[in-house]
Amino acid sequence: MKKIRLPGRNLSPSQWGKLLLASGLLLVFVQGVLQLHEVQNFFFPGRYYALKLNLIRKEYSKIDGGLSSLQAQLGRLTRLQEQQARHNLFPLRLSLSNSSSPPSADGDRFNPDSSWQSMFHAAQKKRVYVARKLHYIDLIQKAMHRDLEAQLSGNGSASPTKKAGMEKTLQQIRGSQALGRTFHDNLKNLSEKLEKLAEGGASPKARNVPYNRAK
Amino acid sequence: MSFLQANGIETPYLILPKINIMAEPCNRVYSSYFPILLILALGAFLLLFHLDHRPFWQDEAETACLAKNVLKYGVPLAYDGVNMISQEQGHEYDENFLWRWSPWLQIYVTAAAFRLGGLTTFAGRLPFAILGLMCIFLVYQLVRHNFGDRAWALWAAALLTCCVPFLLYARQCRYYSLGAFLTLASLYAFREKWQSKMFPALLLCFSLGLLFYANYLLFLSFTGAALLAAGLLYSSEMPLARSLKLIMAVGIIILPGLFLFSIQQQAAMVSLGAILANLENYFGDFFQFMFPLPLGFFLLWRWGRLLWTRSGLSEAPQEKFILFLSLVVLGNILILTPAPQGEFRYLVHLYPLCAIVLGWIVCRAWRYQKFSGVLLAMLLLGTNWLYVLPMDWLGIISRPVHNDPHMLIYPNLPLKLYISELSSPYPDVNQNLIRFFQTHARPGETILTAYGDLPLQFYTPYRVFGGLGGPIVETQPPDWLVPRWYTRWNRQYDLNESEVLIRQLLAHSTDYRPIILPAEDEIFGNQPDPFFHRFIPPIESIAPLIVYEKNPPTRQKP
Repeated sequence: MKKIRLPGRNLSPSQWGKLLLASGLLLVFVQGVLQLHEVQNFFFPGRYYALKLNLIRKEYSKIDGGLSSLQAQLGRLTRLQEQQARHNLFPLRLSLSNSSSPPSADGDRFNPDSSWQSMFHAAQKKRVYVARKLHYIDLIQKAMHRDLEAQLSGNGSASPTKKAGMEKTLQQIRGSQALGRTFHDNLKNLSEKLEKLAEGGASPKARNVPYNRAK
Repeated sequence: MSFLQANGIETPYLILPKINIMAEPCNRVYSSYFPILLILALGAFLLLFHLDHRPFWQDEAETACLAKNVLKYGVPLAYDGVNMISQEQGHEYDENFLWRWSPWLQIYVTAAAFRLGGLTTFAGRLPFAILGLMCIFLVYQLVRHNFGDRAWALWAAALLTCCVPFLLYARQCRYYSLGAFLTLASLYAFREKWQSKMFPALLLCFSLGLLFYANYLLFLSFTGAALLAAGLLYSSEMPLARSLKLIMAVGIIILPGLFLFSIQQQAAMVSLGAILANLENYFGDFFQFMFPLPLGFFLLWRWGRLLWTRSGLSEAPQEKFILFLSLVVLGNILILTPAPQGEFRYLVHLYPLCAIVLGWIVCRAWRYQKFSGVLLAMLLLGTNWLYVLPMDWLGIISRPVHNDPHMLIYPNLPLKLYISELSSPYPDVNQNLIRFFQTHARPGETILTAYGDLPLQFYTPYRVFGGLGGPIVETQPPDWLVPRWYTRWNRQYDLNESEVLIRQLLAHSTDYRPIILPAEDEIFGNQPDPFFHRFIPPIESIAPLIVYEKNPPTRQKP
């Protein structure tokens, strides 16, 4: 019987290089074709929602991280405020007036009030980051939920397997929405604390809508 | 040095890359220029076809509204007696409403186009699209003229022509293609004998000086990076006295601009804390939309190996130039990082430079192995797979949650998407709002909008306010309200005044009735950023466009 000989031993480094280059590019090519939306839709019709939910899960982990970091920032701000109050220094509070020029992102680092401002600014930034993401996800999940329900009600002749798949996705969306609601509540709570800090410990002032949950 | 000499090939005849057209037979010239003419024809089609398929979006409309005021007042004023142009809470103008935020060159270019072609979307975008086309030719000419490598020149031009993000930016009524053109012009002049000849020296001075007036952030980042890279690689070709004279001349050109535009005010916004986030954003976007990560690794490996083995970098002028361009791109990104906004648009002028580098890599791949060369060229010309997939595999792809599989953040065929958009454009959010108000609002009425005020100001005769502008001083409640689902915060991370006012008016009043339009409330409209750009309507509609009209009994007669 004739032995099959692999070419590896006989290849020079240059030939190896060529082989690797061509196979790498071919891999990208094949993967690219397979990942085109039209191709995916043809071979795996329900994959779109699964991918979207997977992305939402990833975003939720970022939101979770963002909320933890916001909580830590609030802790630091509270400690700084208490420290200043103990030493009887000027009260630290955010200037609520509209300044005539855009804020310096770093501020004057030697000024305690400025360091407070920049810390507060960072916390605000984080809050906006989380609120924005949550708002997006909220609307996207609502749209997915609506579309899937419409598909289910309008697709009486669909196979039971397909219907079961859709039901499963719907359940996953509902679960994800419930998780989103806990994040919303958490953010609302932290936003209120941030507002209190801005007022120097007083009750939140209705200067601005700090956080409006998407309706 | 000729191409052959550069590669160590001696020839008794001096073969210069510069082609003497007159000396060549007609058919040879024709065959020599035919491929680039074909590329330019394709570029002209892609850049000019249905140039006005969508109305200006917010940023373009800012330029267009200011240009409209230039035609009226001679200078860019932010106020025309009816509407105020602002996206930075009113910080962009002085007490006389003179625009002092961004440089004026793009505004005057647009004003000239409006003067010639009328106040139309097509006229506003045309000069910039033509500049985009000139970039394609200049890329070809820069390579062909200096290195005599026709294949490389053609590949570079073809890659730039088929680069959809570049096309999107070049079709905007904004400085993007102007910045790219001036960057290329300065590089072209730099490769000429500016040390001894007057014309290249003048071209270098003016292209850099004008780059400042196109956008000073581009000027600062590009000039800084180019100076450093040139000092590192071409120091022997830079006589000190001449270089200093040149720097001084550029300084004199930009001097008035340093005082005219609020650079100090904006420089105060520079944030050292944002450096890391900006670095991540810039490099993420760079590898996702501009230069594939594996090819970046290839260059690193190639030059790293040469440095490691101490064999020194190749003295071939082609490779030296590629290294120079790579350093310019890298330096440019690094210089940009402390700037307050890490926006991809500040890298657009680097697209032609990347096309030159990519063209060189394609040629090398072809010479190394024809099959790989063809495959690489196919991947780069027709797909974004080499950009997106490797980043996806490494888990570093930046894909926003509001994504859609028909965007450039997914593996796609960008030219197919682009041509679908041009051939069957859908009315975007701005188009829908413009049409609505053109047919429903009455003369003298007022519109308060949370965003998209500037396109409405440009295309409709009404008083439009709100948006990202500053405090709102209105004695009468507006006749129309346009809340947008995507909430906008200002630089202090407070809600914008327009957002607050709309919420207050809707919360405490029953004077308004909602009108739900059968259209999607998109975030931007014709935003060219590949991270956000939608070529076709999204698969799922997440929020309808809602306009609130003041109830008839409480509505004032205009």
